[in-house]
Amino acid sequence: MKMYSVATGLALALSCSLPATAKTIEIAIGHQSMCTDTYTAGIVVKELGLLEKYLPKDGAYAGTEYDISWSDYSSGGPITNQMLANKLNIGVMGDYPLIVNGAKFQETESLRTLYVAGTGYNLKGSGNAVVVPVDSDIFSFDQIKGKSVSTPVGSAAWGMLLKAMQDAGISQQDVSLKNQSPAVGAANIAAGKIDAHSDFCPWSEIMEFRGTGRKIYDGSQAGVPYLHGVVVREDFAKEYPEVVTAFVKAVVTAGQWIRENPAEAVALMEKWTGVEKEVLYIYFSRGGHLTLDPTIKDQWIEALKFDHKVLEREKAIPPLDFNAWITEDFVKSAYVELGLDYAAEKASVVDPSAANAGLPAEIWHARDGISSYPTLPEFLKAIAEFEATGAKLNATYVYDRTTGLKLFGKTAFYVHGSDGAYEAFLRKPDADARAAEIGGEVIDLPTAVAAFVPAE
Amino acid sequence: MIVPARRRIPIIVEAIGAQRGLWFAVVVGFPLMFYAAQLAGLVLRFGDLPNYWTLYDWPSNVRRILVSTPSILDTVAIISEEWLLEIGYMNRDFGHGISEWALNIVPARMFVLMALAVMLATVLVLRVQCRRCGLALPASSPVAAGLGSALVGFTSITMYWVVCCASPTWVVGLSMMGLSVPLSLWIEPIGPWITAAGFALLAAAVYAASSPGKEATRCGRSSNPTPFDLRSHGT
Repeated sequence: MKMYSVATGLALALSCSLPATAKTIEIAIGHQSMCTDTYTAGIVVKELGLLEKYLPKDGAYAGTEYDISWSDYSSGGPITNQMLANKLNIGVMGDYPLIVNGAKFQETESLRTLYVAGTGYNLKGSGNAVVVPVDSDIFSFDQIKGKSVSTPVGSAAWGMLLKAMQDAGISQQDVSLKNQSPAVGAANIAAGKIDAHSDFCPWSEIMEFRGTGRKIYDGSQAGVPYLHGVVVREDFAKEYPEVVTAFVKAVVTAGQWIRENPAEAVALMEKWTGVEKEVLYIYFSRGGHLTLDPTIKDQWIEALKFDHKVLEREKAIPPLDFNAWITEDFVKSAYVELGLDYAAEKASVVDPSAANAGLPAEIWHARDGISSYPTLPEFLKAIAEFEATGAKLNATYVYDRTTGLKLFGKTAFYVHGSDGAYEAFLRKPDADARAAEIGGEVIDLPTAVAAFVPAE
Repeated sequence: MIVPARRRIPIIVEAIGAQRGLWFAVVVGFPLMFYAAQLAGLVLRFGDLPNYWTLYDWPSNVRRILVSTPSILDTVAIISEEWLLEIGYMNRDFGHGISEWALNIVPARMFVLMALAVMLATVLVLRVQCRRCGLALPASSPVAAGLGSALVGFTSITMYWVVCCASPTWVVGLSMMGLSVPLSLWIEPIGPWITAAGFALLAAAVYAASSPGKEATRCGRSSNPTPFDLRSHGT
């Protein structure tokens, strides 16, 4: 880990000894409005003006003006290229592009980036998923053998796909692997032109929400954490360490704002990004896929090292010195200045299977908002009653019994036990196994709701 | 007989001078055709016409890189990836739009293409010269020129498919056109060698087409013409 206190002190001392002159600091940030896990360091910070709130305005920075610019990208690769050209100082991206960023900079003679904070994570890797057309007869991952599968090569979803194939004993020769962008993959899933598509957040949920796709594999099955983070050019961080700390404070505050009122947050985020609020809710609500936590945990470093090995093997990317690249200095300073306990949050890890146990199912009524139901029968009964009145429901949410993941109610498989109990599942094989175990039957949402239709 | 390269230079210069219009047309037209072909390929491949374009302030960006990059080697590498123009298709079905594909004009790549076009044009005017003198044309020259152009052309592709997170490289263009992903990725590291091989073939083509012996026989000169001979003889 790098220490910047000496550099900071020298910079302060030097600046204090010089006559005060007004100067402008350019802060250029690259973010991704179509990648949910980056929002707390991207669109939310931008739209709420959180960076402006925390930028230093006294001491060495007295009279300083800030010229902040935000650039939206479809992927992390171009952000790295723009950072190399010094057109961006700060970049926000997912785990695989982060690694490419660090390695590409370390490949140069004179330039480096620093990984200064996370934005959020899913411990088991949810966020990435493999989706098939909704009417496909593929229900489990091993059925993709001999099929055509597309993925954005180089993305976290590509890495997950390779790991999943390795785990399932499927070689790259066993499938026709195609390189497709998320939008093309989603369109091809809708048109049934591809057998399966592996993508990252929030594309699989967009396909499910629009009724075109169905998950057959969730990233959590790979068991490798999925995380996003913030990288900063080292020369910028050395020159303006307080600005970097201010940015991380904005990231922390953005996470707090979402946690305090997720329904309002996703409604605003829909306006800012164009991604449906019902899709965003599955990420940012209580029990959602994403844990908003900028701390840098040891597990994340191990996960990043694992990801680097995948990229090294498949794409021959340069080596990466993780010790030189990752620094906790800025995120620790941010927590101290915000009066938060960094060590406590760093030690805390949210496992959806434990954390989401017992969380209520939810119904998003188009007019009345979101309501909760402690049990599935109550949830199904409420849907039946709403449908009987012709009420418009934006979305419904349940939790996968196996993984604890939040799901759209309409895409889940339900096991109706002989005792009348209901359980929800993400994957049909899990539901089939449970039904066999308890002597129940596997049904879909309309069938489950039909049992609760009010008598006339 | 092996003739030193310096003795071929007057022949090349005269051939270019004699066919100045054709030579310039190829030098300027080839890169334009190359980009037009890439754009047409993208439109045919994806079935959508381009719906956005962005012009980048290349000189300012280069200035910024020069000022902020300590190493000369790094500076050259970074500038070689700087874009001048991006023209592509934005899919607005998702979010506020996501760029699906783009053709980029990269000045550094344009320079490589111009070098390719210069060599190709030179081979062409030398062969026109041969034809005008009524001699049999050396078969090796056009084959080498064609193969060399193809190799340099492949590595100069600047079609970028915004497949998330993957850094844009020339092999993405190959992948977009149907080459398998593993093969594309396997080829990527040898790109500079492919380019070098292409230029070597083009140089060989120019060398073969500028053989003074053949020129002399064809045009009734001595087998070792002087620059004066060539200048005075013309075509």
